Amino acid sequence: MNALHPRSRIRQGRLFLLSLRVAAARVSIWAGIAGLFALGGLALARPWSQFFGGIDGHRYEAHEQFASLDVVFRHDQSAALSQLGQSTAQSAVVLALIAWLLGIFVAGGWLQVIAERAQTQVLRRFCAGGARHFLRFLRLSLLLLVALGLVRWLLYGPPFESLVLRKLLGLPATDLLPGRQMESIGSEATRDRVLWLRDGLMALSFLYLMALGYYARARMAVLSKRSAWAALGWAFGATLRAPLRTLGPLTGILLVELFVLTAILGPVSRWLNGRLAGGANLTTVWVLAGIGLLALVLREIARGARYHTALVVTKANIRSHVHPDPWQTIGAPGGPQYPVQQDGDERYGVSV
Amino acid sequence: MRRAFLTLLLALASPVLAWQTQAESESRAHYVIRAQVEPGERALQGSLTLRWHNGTDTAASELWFHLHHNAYANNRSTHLSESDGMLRGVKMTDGWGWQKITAISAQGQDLTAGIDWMVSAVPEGAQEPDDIGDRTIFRVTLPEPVAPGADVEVAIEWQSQIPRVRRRTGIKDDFLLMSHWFPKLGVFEGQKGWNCHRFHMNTEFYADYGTYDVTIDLPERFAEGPDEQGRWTAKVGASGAMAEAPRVQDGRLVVRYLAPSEGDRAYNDPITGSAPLVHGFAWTADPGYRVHRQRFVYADWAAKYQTEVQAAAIAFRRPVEQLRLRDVQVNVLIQPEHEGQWQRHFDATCAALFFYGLWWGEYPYEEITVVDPAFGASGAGGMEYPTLFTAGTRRYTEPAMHSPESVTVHEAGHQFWYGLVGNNEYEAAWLDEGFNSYTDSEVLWRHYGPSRDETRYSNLPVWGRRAAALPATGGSAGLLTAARWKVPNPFDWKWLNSMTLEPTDVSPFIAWYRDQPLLTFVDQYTDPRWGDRSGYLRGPGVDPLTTHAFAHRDSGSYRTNSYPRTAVALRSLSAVVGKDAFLRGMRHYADGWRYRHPYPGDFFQAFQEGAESDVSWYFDEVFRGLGTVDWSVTVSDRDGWKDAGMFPDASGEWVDAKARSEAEKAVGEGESAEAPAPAPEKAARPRRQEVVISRRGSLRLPLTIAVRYEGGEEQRYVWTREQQEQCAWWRLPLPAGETKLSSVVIDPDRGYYLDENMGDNQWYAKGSTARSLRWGERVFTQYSHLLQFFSGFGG
Repeated sequence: MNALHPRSRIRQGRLFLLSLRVAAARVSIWAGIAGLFALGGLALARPWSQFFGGIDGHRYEAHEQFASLDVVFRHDQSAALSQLGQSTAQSAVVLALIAWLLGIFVAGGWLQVIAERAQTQVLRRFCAGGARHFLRFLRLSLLLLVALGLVRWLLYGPPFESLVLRKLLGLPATDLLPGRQMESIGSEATRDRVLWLRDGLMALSFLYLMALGYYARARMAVLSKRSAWAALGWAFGATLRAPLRTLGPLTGILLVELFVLTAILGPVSRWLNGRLAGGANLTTVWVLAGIGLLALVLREIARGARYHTALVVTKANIRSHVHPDPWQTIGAPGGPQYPVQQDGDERYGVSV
Repeated sequence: MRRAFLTLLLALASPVLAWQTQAESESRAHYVIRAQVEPGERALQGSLTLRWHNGTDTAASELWFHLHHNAYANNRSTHLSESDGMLRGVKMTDGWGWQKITAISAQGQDLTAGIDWMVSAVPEGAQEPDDIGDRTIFRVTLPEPVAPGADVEVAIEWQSQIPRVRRRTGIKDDFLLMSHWFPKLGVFEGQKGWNCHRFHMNTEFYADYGTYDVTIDLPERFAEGPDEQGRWTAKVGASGAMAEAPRVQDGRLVVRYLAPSEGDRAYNDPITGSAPLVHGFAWTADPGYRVHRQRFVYADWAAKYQTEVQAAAIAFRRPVEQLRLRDVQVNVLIQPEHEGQWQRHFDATCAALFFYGLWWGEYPYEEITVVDPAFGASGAGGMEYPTLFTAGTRRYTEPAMHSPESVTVHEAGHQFWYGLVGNNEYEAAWLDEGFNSYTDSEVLWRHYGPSRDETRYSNLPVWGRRAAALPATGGSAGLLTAARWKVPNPFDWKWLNSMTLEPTDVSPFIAWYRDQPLLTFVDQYTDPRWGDRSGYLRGPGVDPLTTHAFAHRDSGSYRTNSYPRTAVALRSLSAVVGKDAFLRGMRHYADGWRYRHPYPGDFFQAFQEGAESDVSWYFDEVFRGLGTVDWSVTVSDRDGWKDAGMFPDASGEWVDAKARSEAEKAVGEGESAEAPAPAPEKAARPRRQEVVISRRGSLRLPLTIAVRYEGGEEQRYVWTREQQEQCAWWRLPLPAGETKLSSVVIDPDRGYYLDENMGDNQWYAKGSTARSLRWGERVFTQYSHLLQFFSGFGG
């Protein structure tokens, strides 16, 4: 089914599944992107591998320090481990920055490929899309980061402290001093609930801003607009007008992602890790790496699916507001030409 | 009027004080106390009578007292100034507390006007005393000296402003933990005079043993009831046991406690043959307490740990029956939100009562009370008082985290080390904290195994740790990763001051989504015994163990020396003298100094007597000195020499090695049938093996080295102290042979915990690449996902 077609009739509840299917079908894209992250991970893992290879100079038995590092090892190697950790953390800064830029590029690529429903030269189109939208998505990303920072400041900074903790809950100023942990609040459970409220609000804000980002990018791509402000404003309006329609499918994708990660792959990984305590088993290590890669691929498919969803919903939304379809009322020459087919052949789709 | 009141108080107290009148060789202090408390006003009004027995051979013309609550009166007290105003991580800015003596009399005379505020009865480090800020010690001169073996009775009235609990004692809302709450006599040490220290940051205990009869008057809300039989339940816990049913009248609750309890006073401590005593009294109250009581039953624990009981019986050379311990009622006063953990508190307390009792002698009291401080009163947690101690827990814990098990075992353990063996904690805290740290790790390991680390997201725990750290966030790294964006403030607007945007420093819930702990984390365990070693190595050579607790270079050195270093030193001592001798030595010390005041020299002497071993060198090097050690082994195991040159054959003729080799080969192939040349002697080619043990540091301990060969044969060598005195390295006298080495391990039984780096203490012939892949995989998985997450900020 061509879900991108303006007149397509996708049942709302199934859109996230369709999006996942569409994204999963783009093997070369998610494999390529996941491969890049895996390469980054490998670059950072290499010094660790070398370190453990180096200390393996006959100082430890094969099964020692395999499943976990004991307290003696952690102490005796603390200087080396600390240095290794610091250098990894520093290197990771550069890679995180690259990953962020890659994310901007990938967003354009996914949107281009999904919008065009390209079957050939997919990677070329992907790169073209990434390059085409890069700068405008970069601006949007910066805008979103500032928004995230502001929300965080509101929730973890002086506004939350003065409005919620001081005025609403009536905590004295001394309660907010270091180490006091809101001690006047009465009970640990109440304190936890306040923290969860704040952390939960932050998490929801984070997810919401990410969702706005998807819709803003989709709009910019569909309409070929450059203004990140306008796109973000439109996305905000759209999510307010139709919260279920816009946020529902994205939530569905997130839930599927979380389910697979935490209810399937995670427990299997944890179980395998536990088995390593019984002895050095290289096969298990490879399986663990495989599971990690599988999870990485799934998260990349989920990203593609989000863009598919955003594109479908955006097109459906902006059609009525921005581009009234003349053919819908007067009919095209030779009669209505679409929907081409209701059951799935997408080759005749209209490119953006 | 005041004198009349004091006389009346003494008259009322005399029946209680009379129960113990026999002449004693130790000084004893018997208190009768009455206190009225108004928690809302943080006010306490108290009166006490003290009968002190001078057990020394010297007359005492003065009496010295502690007034510990004055430590919280201002920021210039010794307690506050030593801790730089920070009490358990909290700056003391409010809730000050103080004590004031309103009347004191003895031998029929009012001594109130003669109160002398003192700095200290003994020299205390280099810090300049502040006699304005610190009012934690006072002295009165008696009209008549108290002769050796004589008693004196003193009556005191006082008022207190109870401090907001920040460390050890005080109040938070309706939660009270009242320790060091009454004027308490110092210790008269005969010729040496009074030993009465200021209330220091880290040390607080030293008092004569005796008895307490305490009546507490509180608002009625601290009582629950009455039940159908008209009985009230007091939400109060205290040292000893409640002497009579709580009374509620006119909006007040009155409870009376005896420490030791009446039952204890009729009980013969199997070690001393006399009734048990205590050297302090603490109490707690909180209307919110949930009270649970259950008995520690020795037989149940002995059945569970039969091997340990047998081992102790062998070590002590006593029949198992003689190791039997008294059953004890455990009272758990726990906060409602932690009520699900009361059984864990009980279990940890029982573990301490069992193992400590098995090794160091019975807990001789019929009750023990475990207190869980209220939220916001964690400063009262982790404290020990006679027959009552405070633990401290949080929501969402598992036994494998050893929380609250670790603190519970430790504080319960103090009932033995400092409770029953009453060392001067001001001067030698390691005699109780260190001995207790040693024992609690042994107990935790036996009963709970290693602790398991968790990572918390918004206080919700997840097992495991990240394999590698997150990307750096300091300086330019924070800018690049959008973790710290300092907002410029060119116009110096107040509301913009210190405003920092932290877009990627996400909420804990999103951090969980980012980390995917199930996929990327690694398990981390800690053996508490080896955890002690890590603690010791944080500062192994700063101060001798025997340094006075308040005279350490800094609080870090105090902590290291008083806790893990002592534990490590004792554990290694066990390897030196053997486990059985070690237990005997420790038990001999514990038995001999029960209800008495030992000093380090007493321990050194008693231990050697009990262990029947002269280890004075060990005490000199490890306890009195700064001895450290780092052993290492280097191994070389190569093929034997390939012969070259001329060698003598069987007939003594010089033969070229090459020719001999060919002849050997020919014999091997059977070509010599027609060539009856003399058969060359088969050359032995022993492997070129060299094992060198090295030692850095001045500490010389007899060291065992295990050398294992392929095929499983093991040879053990001992590098003696005498050999080590000659040289800091030793090449093992390995026999010549053609068998390859399989492994060389220093201290194969892992008895020494003092080695500064154990990473070079062993050598194995077989390497492994698996470990390298394993940890590479963990970091790879973690960081590939982390990078994917960061890319999400882009799109």
